[in-house]
Amino acid sequence: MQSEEALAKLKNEVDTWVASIMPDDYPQAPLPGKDETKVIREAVLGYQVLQPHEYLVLDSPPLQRLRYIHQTALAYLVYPTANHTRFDHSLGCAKIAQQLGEKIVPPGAKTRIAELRLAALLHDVGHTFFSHLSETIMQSRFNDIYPAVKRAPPFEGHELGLSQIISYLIVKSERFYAFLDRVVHHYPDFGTLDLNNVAQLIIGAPADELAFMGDVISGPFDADKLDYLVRDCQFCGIRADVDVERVLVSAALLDRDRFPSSNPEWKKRYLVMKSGGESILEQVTFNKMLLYPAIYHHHKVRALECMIKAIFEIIWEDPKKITDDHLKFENIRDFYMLTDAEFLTLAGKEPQLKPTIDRLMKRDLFKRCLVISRPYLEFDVNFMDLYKKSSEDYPEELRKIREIIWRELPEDKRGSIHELWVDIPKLPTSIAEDPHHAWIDIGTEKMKKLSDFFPYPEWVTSYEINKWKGHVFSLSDPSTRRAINDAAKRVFEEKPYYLEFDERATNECKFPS
Amino acid sequence: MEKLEKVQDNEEEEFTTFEDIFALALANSEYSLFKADSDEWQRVLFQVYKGYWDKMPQLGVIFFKERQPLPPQSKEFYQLITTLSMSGLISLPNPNYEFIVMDDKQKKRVKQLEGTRLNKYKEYIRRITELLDERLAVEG
Repeated sequence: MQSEEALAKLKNEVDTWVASIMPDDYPQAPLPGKDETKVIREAVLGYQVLQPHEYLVLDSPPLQRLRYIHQTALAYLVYPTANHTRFDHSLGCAKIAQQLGEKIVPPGAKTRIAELRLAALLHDVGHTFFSHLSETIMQSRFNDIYPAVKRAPPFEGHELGLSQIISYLIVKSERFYAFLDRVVHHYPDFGTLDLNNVAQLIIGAPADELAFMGDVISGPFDADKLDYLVRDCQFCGIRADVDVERVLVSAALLDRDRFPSSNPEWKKRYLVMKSGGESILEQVTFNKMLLYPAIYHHHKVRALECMIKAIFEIIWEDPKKITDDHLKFENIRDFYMLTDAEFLTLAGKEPQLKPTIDRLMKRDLFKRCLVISRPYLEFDVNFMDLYKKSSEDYPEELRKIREIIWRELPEDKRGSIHELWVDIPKLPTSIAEDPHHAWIDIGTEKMKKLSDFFPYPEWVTSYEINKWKGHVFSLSDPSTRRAINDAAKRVFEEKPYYLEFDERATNECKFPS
Repeated sequence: MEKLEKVQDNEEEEFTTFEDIFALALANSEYSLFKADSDEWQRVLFQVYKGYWDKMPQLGVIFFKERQPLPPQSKEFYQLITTLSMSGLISLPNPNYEFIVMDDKQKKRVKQLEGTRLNKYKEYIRRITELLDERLAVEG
């Protein structure tokens, strides 16, 4: 599909969805007075004052949905207190964006800070149920639209996920933009607030001289990262932290005296760190890396994700068998009709999906049948052919492997193919990438990159080699799991992989003795 | 593994990615030592992408973003290095991580692994090897 065609199709879907949840004259009630601010407190960053236009935006249907979308999807089934939502995170982002803004926005440009706050509040409005998990599922299902759209202006040249693109399109949708215009520009203090800049900030693409504002919302050490690193750790109960205050102390604006815009290399004015700030960014990067094995790549979290993918596989295998049209997911906008709980409730009523949903609700999750990890393999093996088939980019390749393992099982152990999963987590490449984009002002005519201080790509690579794990998952019946373990090892031992697993690959599955 | 081979024989084209292309291009080089300079790698990756994305669909997944004064940046560079390292097909010798190494044994393994599956891109891969030799290879 051509980029323009794909963008027009997606834009139409977003416009249709926004119009379906927001009446034309929303909000119908009279707008509050300019001094009627509100105070809100959330658990991580404490109090913040909301301007009338901000709480009107927060109260709007697209934003209120975020209260019912967990930040870390189903990770609360692994970490019981991981119940924080995209809504909480958006509030946290707004506070950090304001604090960063106050450090760098020139005095007198208070509207710019309001733009930053609004962009932070809206940056995740394009998320839908189960957050990044459904984003991944949408990206691979609608693989004619997403790659084409991300190469279309204004997204071209920015590495954006589908949710980020949809956040932008929601803000720019006819109905929502008119609403923003009405509630923001009603207040004289915000009469010059540039809504177009707010939308551009969400995709990290403001005008060149405002590039630092883009960095606050979508940069190597942006408000989004600073908030989710702290929030995910706190709500999961992981003992890691980021000293956000220290980041604020070191953040600065690119010095135009030494790096004038006339120099084509520094046409954009970036957010930079003052010398001495590199250590705090190292902490940010290190903590981000720690969160992968602890949360995002935790084997139970991955098992949960595979169970949700199994549900979608069942739906799309034969949509006619699904009675509720909300669950057919024929278009991207269909994903936006549901929140986490609504998805689970509706899917639980479908006979085809009920068994998997029941297991999820009882936390009877897929269990490990084989652990695929570099240290558990003999060296001279073809790991690349398996490893490069990351489940997010090439789900059809992994499906082929699953089918081969399934056929290798004894007939009496062959259950449903949907209950046998091979999970190859995608590399968290941004961990290595961000330090390369984070500028440190060391006071000379040359700026340094954070990666000049530490060999991050190699550091991350070493870490990945030792920590990354893929899995073969299935249901909890021990004898089936053992049979899958045997079958998977036989399949991986032969052409084209020749993977020889040591006993840890099986022992880590904790089969009952 | 009869079943596995049967499935693969039925496929029109075996599954290959941009990592296979770069692995083979490195393996075909007469050099074993390459600079680990990520900016220079990004430039080379960009040049390869611009020159061959329409000829080799595997390159289509590479995506570049702009952040001047850096050259166009692709996260697929980090994916390439990590995938090849984890697969034992290149080494990043410590300390200082100045070089990427693909020794003769690793080259032999890459050639075994890739077999003939990228044969139809042989000429393009030869040109990529020339580019890697010119821009990134180091004597020694």
